[in-house]
Amino acid sequence: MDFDPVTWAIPVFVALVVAELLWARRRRRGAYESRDTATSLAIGLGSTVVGAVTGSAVVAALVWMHDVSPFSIGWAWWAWPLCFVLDDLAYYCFHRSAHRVRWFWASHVNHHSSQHYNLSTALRQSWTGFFALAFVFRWPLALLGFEPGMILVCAGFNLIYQFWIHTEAIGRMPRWFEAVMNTPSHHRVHHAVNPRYLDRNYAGTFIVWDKLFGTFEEEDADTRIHYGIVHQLGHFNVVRAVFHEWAAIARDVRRSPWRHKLGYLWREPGWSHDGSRETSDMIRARWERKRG
Amino acid sequence: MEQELAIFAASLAAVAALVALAHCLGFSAVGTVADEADAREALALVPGGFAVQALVLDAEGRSALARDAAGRLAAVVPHGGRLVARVLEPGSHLALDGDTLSIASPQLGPRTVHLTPVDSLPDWARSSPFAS
Repeated sequence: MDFDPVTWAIPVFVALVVAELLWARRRRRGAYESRDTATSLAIGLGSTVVGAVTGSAVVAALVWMHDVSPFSIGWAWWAWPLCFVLDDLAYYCFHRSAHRVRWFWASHVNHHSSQHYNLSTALRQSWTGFFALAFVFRWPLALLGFEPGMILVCAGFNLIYQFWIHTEAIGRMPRWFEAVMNTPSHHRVHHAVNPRYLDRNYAGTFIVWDKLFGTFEEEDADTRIHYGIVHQLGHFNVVRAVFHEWAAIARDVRRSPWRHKLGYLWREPGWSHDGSRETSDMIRARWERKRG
Repeated sequence: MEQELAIFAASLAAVAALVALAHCLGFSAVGTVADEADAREALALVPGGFAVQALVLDAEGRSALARDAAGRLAAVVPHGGRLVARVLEPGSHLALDGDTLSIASPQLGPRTVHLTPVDSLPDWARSSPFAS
């Protein structure tokens, strides 16, 4: 199946960013900053180029996985919703790993590096996901017998769904919707650096995964959210924004004793062999101690 | 390939148009450290924690400088429309010229940050280990 829903969604993305800019002009001047927007969009554009270059390898690997699988579900109608739900579970696993394993975080961090939270932030997609092997998280679906084309279309719709939740223009959705689906409110929590919100709400489309696996946090209307990353970038350089964590990993691996080198790859962001830095768990614990 | 190039060209044009629109709608204004609460909020999020003991603000909101109980200094500077707080580490340099303090630090990047307080500069800022 040669259909990429994300490409077809690009005009809608552009129209919605324009609409949000007009909303921000009237209602929330601080929601946008032109250099931040330029950085977000440039990273988004770059990610489409990387996707075009690496896409065939990702597809080939998925097809191979499907071919070696003893199962074949085919294109049955009922396979579509099932594939979408299981793909969203795979996304949850990927996304949780992307925040808890520094190797994957290095690829994902640029999506979080804006201190703003708007629809342009949604387009800050990774350039290095292929290098980080992030695509392996969808292999189990192919091994279960789902058609590679079906998996990729579902993944595309999952990504499209996640676009509209990157906004401050929407407060809360109806209660039933907030209970099941990922929403702007839930995802604002995910992009926050406030200690109580760190490493929460990993969901793509269905927030139920976070509720099921104990990573859900409700947005508190009285808490002002600060967006970005724990060590804010402090610049708008696109290349540095994309590669800074990979460079930091290389530095840490080079400087650390041999027995700790791998720890800088597979441990959580903020981990250090001498305890000189803080992980998100440590930041939250410090905040809880201070709060009493 | 031709189709991919056309999509890329259209996307590039859309990016340029959106950035131009953001600029025209007035989203290019530089942020300021508006008040002490603003600065304290930014400092509260410093990695490793930073408990402010004393704080001085630039009269025009260009920066803030804070000190904690251990004598560490941290600067707060605007970054686009937001603020960034950094603990100053060895290699930082504070130079006093009249009432204006110039702060240069690897933690703040290549820029030099200026701070002219409403009142006089406190002694702890004048006598910091980075001062010259």
